[in-house]
Amino acid sequence: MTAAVRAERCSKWYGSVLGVSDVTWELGGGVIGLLGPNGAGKSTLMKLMAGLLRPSRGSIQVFGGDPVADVAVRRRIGYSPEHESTYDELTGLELVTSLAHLAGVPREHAGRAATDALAAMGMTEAMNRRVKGYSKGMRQRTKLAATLAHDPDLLILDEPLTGVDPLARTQIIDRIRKLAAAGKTVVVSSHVLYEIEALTQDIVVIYRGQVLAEGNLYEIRKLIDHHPHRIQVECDRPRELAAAMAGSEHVRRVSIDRRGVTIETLEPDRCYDELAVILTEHNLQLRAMTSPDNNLGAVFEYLTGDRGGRASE
Amino acid sequence: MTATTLTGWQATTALARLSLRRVLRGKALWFAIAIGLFPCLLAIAWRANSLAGVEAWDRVTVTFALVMAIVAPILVASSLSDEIDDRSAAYLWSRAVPRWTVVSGKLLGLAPVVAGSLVLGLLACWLILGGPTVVSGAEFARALVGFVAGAIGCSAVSALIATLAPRFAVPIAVAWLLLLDATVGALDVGLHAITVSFGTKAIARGDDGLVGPLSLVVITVLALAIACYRVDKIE
Repeated sequence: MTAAVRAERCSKWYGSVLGVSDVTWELGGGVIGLLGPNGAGKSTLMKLMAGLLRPSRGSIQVFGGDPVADVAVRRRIGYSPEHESTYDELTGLELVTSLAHLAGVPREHAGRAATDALAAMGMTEAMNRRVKGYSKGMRQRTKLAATLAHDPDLLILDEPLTGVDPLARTQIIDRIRKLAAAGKTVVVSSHVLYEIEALTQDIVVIYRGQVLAEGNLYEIRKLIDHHPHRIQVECDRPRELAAAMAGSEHVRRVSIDRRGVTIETLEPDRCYDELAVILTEHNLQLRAMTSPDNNLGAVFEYLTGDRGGRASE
Repeated sequence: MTATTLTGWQATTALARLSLRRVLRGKALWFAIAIGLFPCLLAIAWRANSLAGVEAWDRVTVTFALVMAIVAPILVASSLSDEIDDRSAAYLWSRAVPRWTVVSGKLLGLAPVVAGSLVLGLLACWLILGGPTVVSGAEFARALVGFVAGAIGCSAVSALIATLAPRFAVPIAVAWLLLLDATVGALDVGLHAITVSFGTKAIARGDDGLVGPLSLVVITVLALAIACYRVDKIE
């Protein structure tokens, strides 16, 4: 089966400024989260995939073809840019209808396709109003409707959750998951970690134009074997738990604060097993057990070497 | 629903409809109308001051040549450059249409608006100044043809400038057409043949045989060819 996207040592410079550097990447199906801070190269990589940019070096193929030169390839792509600029003079329905037609939907069907796409984004009531009067969230939803109205196989969504209200966020996340379940490939970028986390476990971490890591969130976490895994435990007698755990050879550090006991270990699986035993043996009442390291924020911090804090927003 | 790839012509007409719809609802059209009405006000003033006849008509056509050099950039250059500069062009570049159709679509959609505003203005001025008593119907028709051809030429040059310098496309296009093109076109030197204003004047007055029409065709085709090439390179 042809990969949806295949990048081969792909680099892009804007003059002397690096956009992406030497990216070799193959993309199958489902939802893939492209994660990185602002200016990391996410948008450049997405524009390369959408056929808006040509690689300065290397190549990028979408469904086996060149997205810049081959219009038939672009027909299978739905691209939603990060910026808000749209055609303010048009109504939402006119905008999506026009763009659906330009994406290859026959003129007589474009209106229907646009209406359905806008309905899927919860924009039915506002679709006959001009885009000029839309809120940021409505613009975002209209952009997404325009992206999926022509039923593309690859959706490239650059920061699709930026500026949307919680209800719209839920609708968009739900829609993206349905598209992936229907066999579409969806690439979603964000610099906000919990947004990606809500969408997918398959991530690509990009920083300073380079892909630092890719794969399942938990697999990526495993790559960071030099970094201790943290487990936070809330129980009725934290000091007793801390004392019991402190003697274990795999435990690097144990600390107690008002949230409970935080254990740092290099062997998480062994630590979880031992915790279960200690909790049972000491008859400790467990209130909560979380692992902050399962959050994308931690992964991103470790991979980028940013230990100064959670790299988001 | 089966998506297909549009042909170049289908994409051009779709983009022309889109551009036309946007311009009909935007501010640029009102600016263009206001500028287009200016010669009519002058015609009324000339008529009120008993200045009529061929002299007044000549003044009207000169004024319209200047109007054309402003209206085409306002409508065509702004439409294309806004698209590139505001990055809304990303929606078009990512669609299954060749990029050159964005230029051809804008031209097909907007050059008729430029030409239409000139035709209506000329008609109004002609009637204000006395209609067939000033210049014959045949001469008037020739003037209309000249200005329609000139509108297409100015629109093509405006599109070219929009792809070369999108950020300052309108002032550059106005400066080019109003100062450089109009000045060189008015000179009695061979170089004037490479200007839109000369071609327009030659067709409108029936002078210089085929030189005027040919020069306009060459300028228009060349400007469009470069604009289409440029738009393909924009990132």
